[in-house]
Amino acid sequence: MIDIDWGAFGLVLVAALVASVVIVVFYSVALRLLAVGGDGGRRPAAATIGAVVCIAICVAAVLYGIYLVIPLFHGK
Amino acid sequence: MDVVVTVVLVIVVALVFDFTNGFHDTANAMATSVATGALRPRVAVLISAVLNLVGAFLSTEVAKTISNGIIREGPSGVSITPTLIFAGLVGAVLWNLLTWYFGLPSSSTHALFGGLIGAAIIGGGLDAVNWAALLSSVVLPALFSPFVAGLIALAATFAAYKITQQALARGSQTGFRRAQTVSASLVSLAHGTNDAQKTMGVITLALIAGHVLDAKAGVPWWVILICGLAIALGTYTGGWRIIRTVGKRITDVQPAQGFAAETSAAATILSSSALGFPLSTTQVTSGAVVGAGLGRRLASVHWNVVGRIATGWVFTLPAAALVGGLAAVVAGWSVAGVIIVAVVGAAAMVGLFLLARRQPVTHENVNEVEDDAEMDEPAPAGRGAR
Repeated sequence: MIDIDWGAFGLVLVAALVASVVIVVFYSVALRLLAVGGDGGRRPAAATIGAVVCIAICVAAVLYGIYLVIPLFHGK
Repeated sequence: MDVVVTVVLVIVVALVFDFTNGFHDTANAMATSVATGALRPRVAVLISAVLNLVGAFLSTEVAKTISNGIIREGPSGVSITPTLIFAGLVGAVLWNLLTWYFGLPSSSTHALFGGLIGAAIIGGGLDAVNWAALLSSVVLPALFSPFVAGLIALAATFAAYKITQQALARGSQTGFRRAQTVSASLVSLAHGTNDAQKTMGVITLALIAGHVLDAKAGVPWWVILICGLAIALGTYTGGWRIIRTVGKRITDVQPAQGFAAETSAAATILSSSALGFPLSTTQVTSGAVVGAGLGRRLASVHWNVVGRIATGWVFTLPAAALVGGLAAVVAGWSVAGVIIVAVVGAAAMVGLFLLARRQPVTHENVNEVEDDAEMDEPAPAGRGAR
């Protein structure tokens, strides 16, 4: 009688968990990298590049989110 | 003539519902940003309102049935008349305003379903409701979604604090505040694409039921416009009482927590609707805020507040159903009955607004939480992790 779609439910759980953790971890790593060097000190180029890459991944995730929100983009 | 009066009243009440929907759900997207100071309160509601309006125009898929199969419509069940829709909407609006008065975030969708179910039972008996569908598509997801979002937000918050050395790394508070506004905006946009179209569906169905529109007609452009405007206006007005509850009372949200909570909420909402398992925005965000509270060391989650919110959720469906049913009984008499319901409903709304003005919560005092005895267990002595 109760036909809850456990497969879809599990998929939502996993997809949302992975997406959230990936975004939050990459963004946090970016912030951490930007803090390297501290006040007055110079930040190594590697840290800056790493931070930019991390933020780019987050931006990509947000763009994908906008793509999912707007039905016109995926013909639903 | 009678039909015209009823249809006009349905449109008016549907727009009022749409307004309360926006008003109620501003908190979902913006409460955490307001609480952490990432956005000034007026700016936060403005962004959310604009994104809701944009979202209303972006959505192309308007509900074809009024309740997604929970009410058996048509010959085998109850015939959905404008009067029934009207009664259901009255139930939903009154419950939304009551929960707003108490500052409780609760699902507007559940209120709408509740009101319609109540009206449908009066119109067609208990068989008018598909109870199995109600259980599997409303009740069970409502039970699980806060836990899912809470778990995800807990993991995300923990990671954010771990990586940024308890957010003490230089620039991390500012960084989290910035990111938080982005994820909150995404929640707002998703809300606009989902919720405004519910009202569009309701109005269109009422127009069809009242033979104003052809049965196969799409949503008229002016319906899209007024629904978008109503939800945006409601959002801009801001349910400050609920914003305060979500941003300050469940737990005192810090920037990293706000970022983790809104990101988890956005990810959960987007993946659930993309994978065809839609979850309630309200329940997802409330769960995420609780999870974010649990994920930070030394943060305290006020379980009595959480308990009150959960109690509100349990009562949302039955209470809105009761009001919707009562309204359906009275409105079923004649046009005079419909007008009586409209007048009594309007009086109740005005009454709640007047009551609320005795202890107003506005954009100016939204972040001030007084330590009234009924809400707090004592806060831990050193809130060191700030």
